[in-house]
Amino acid sequence: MKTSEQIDKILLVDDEQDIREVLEIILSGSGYIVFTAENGKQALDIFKKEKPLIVLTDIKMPGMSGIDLLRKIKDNNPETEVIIITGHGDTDLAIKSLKHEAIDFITKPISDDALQIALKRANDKIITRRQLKEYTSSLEKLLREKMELQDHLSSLGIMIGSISHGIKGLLTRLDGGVYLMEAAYENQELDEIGEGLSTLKETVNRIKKMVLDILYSAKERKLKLEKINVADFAADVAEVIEQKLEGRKIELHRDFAPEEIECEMDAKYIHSALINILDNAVDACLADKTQSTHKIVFKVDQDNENLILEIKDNGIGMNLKTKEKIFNLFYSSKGSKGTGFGLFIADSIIKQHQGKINLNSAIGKGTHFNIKIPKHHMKNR
Amino acid sequence: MEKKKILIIDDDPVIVKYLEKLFNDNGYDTILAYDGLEADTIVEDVIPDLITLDIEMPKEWGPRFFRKLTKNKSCKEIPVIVISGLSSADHSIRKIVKFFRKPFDPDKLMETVKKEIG
Repeated sequence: MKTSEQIDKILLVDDEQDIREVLEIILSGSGYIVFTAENGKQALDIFKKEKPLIVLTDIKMPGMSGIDLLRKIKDNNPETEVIIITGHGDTDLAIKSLKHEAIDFITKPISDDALQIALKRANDKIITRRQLKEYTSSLEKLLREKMELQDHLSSLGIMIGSISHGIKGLLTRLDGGVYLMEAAYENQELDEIGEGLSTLKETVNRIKKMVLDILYSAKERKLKLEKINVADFAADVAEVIEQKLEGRKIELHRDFAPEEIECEMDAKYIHSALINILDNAVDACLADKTQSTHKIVFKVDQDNENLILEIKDNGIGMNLKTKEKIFNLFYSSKGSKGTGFGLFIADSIIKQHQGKINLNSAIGKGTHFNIKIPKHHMKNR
Repeated sequence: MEKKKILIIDDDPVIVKYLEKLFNDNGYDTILAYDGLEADTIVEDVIPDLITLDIEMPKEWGPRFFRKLTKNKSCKEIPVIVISGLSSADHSIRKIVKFFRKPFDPDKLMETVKKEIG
């Protein structure tokens, strides 16, 4: 009888037509799709075409013997199970067939019981092999999942390490600022006090930003989409950066399209994404010692579907390695100054708006960010 | 008597300034370097009495600078204090006097410096 596992095809090989006919009836009755062949050569042709999982073959046939056929089949597909039919008293041949990995042998005249037992054996073996394969592959899957989990854990470790390293540096700066201020206060050195104060202010702002960045990256919040007048919005962004540029030889050039542009977006989020990118532009200009003055262009434009924002600086530029990794979490090219959060967050925010961010940069040539955000959202994500 | 010289190496200018002031206030001279490459050039001309070093810096990474330093004959014996935000020292750094984690306690740092070079 057939087992629950589906083993459909069986190939029956015997040179005697009577035997083929009788066995075909029995096997069909057991639910198999039966193919028959009267010699080894024909059997191999059918075998290659139909790929049956079980072959039932007579041992003594003109031309190719049953043993030869068995060997060829096993060579072709070792997972095929072959049952050998022997004549009465062919014990030696029967044993030889087992040596060549036949699953079983039955003797003529064939009893139905013996045939069913042999078929069951073949089926069991096939099922066991299949299950073993499944276990192996699920074991492999488990191993893979374990590795992925390890990766997650180690990046979490890196994250905690990176955050704590950044915070420790900033705390040391606070200590330093306070120490310098105290000394300056004792000696009533007003200039020094002012300098210490601005160091403290800058450090406090960096700590604030870092904490907010950590909070953002820990939880992606739902966007609050509103229709925004882009000109007003962009002017706000530009003002924040212009305040930072006071006293520095960097010019922020506003290149805003004259027509009114409306865009559906979470203004608070896009605001911080743009500030992050513009901050980087400022740092890229400060790091470039080859020129004494720098320019950052902040362009606002649109096409039919998108709001287009461009930020272009003539600062230090990025090499290929930096360009590839710049949006990665915790990647920073700025030594102790960078946290590796800024552009990662900018990129996430823009992607959350179903937008695109493109980057062009080369050492000595500066960096150009091109951001496209759909003006209308079909569906709130 | 001539003042003892301390070479400060850190990529954060605020921290360099902090250490500079701290050491000056305690009667030491200071030389400043913002990365390992700068420090390399400095030790070719001046032999400091002590070095404080952040082991995580851009350009010339701290440990590499440190190994170079121990190979340089005239600098081999200079005591080195590591001040870093990293939670543990690289195992390749053996001869450090003490490892301070940021943020460090200035009194304890001065204690260590005084014990080393008086």
